[in-house]
Amino acid sequence: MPRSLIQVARATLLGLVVFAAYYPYKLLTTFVPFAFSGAASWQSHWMVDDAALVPFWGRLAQFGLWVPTMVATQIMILLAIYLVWLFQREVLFEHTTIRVLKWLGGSAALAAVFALIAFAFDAWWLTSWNTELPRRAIQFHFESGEMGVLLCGLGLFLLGHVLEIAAFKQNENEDII
Amino acid sequence: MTTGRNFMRVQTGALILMIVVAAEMIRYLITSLNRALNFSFWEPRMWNTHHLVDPNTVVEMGPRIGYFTVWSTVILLSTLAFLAALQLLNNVRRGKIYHPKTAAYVSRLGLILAIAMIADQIFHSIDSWLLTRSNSEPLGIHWGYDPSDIKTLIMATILFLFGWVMRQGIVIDRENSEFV
Repeated sequence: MPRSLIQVARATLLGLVVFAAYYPYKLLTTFVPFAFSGAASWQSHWMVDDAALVPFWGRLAQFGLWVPTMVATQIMILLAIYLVWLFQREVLFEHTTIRVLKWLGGSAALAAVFALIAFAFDAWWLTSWNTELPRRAIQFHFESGEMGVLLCGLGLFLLGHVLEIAAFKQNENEDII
Repeated sequence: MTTGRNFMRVQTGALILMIVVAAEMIRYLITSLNRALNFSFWEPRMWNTHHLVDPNTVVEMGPRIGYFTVWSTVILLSTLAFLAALQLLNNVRRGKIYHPKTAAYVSRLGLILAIAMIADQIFHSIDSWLLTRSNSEPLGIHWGYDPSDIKTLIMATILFLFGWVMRQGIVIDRENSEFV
């Protein structure tokens, strides 16, 4: 394999490891205080009344709405790290590599679906305790970024599936020979 | 299940994905351009209703043109990524799966998408600065973190690397076949 490919894989691996640490850090400093540090942070949201009285379970439920997206995204990041690590070790067309590629696509697609569902409910839940500012209905909030993740995830899943079939075909041919 | 049947399923899958991608590309182009044009030029009062903007501020033409230029660049790059995806899926649909052209298309899609996502991240960082330039207390340029962009960037990098790996694999495979 060309050396440049290995070097790009190593640089990517470094970036991925940094993001794998940054992603939970960002969650801990945004979503967690929003849910657990009192009503003030909720009230400072631009969609919410300054005096909205939000019970703790309401804030907890909002956090719960985003948990599936967070978990699926973290799995996606870890699978991406594992795949690029396999690349830089030159483990390229093995069963493990193909399987990881397929599951990486699957977890990305799942993370995007969870995010789209959470977006649909988020504004409705945030504004449920409003008395002055308008309350919002549950509606499909189109997030082009998440749609991009969904399509890429499905594409990678398809690519992994194609390679799995190719590997199966090769094994069949070898058996015949 | 036979391999031929499996390949047919993959080709059908590629066709379905092509239809979805084409529909999403048209929807994305129409809604994004419409929003950027409305916000920048056609409905100037929309600017004042944004939660970051002072309601009574008068927004000059400069920030409006800047805002439109920034977002139309992202829209253009994303449209190029959609077109690259359609080209790749069309190749798969035509049965050219383990083919150097397919591998090159995978890499190209990853590269364009990665550039689009980096541009999107940069523009998210200057977005609030552009929006609040006419406010009494404008916001500065700051890191506009968007997890969706980073997730897409990861996918794009994997696509780019995988296309590269695939191309190398095909070259080695062909060399071996010629040698035999």
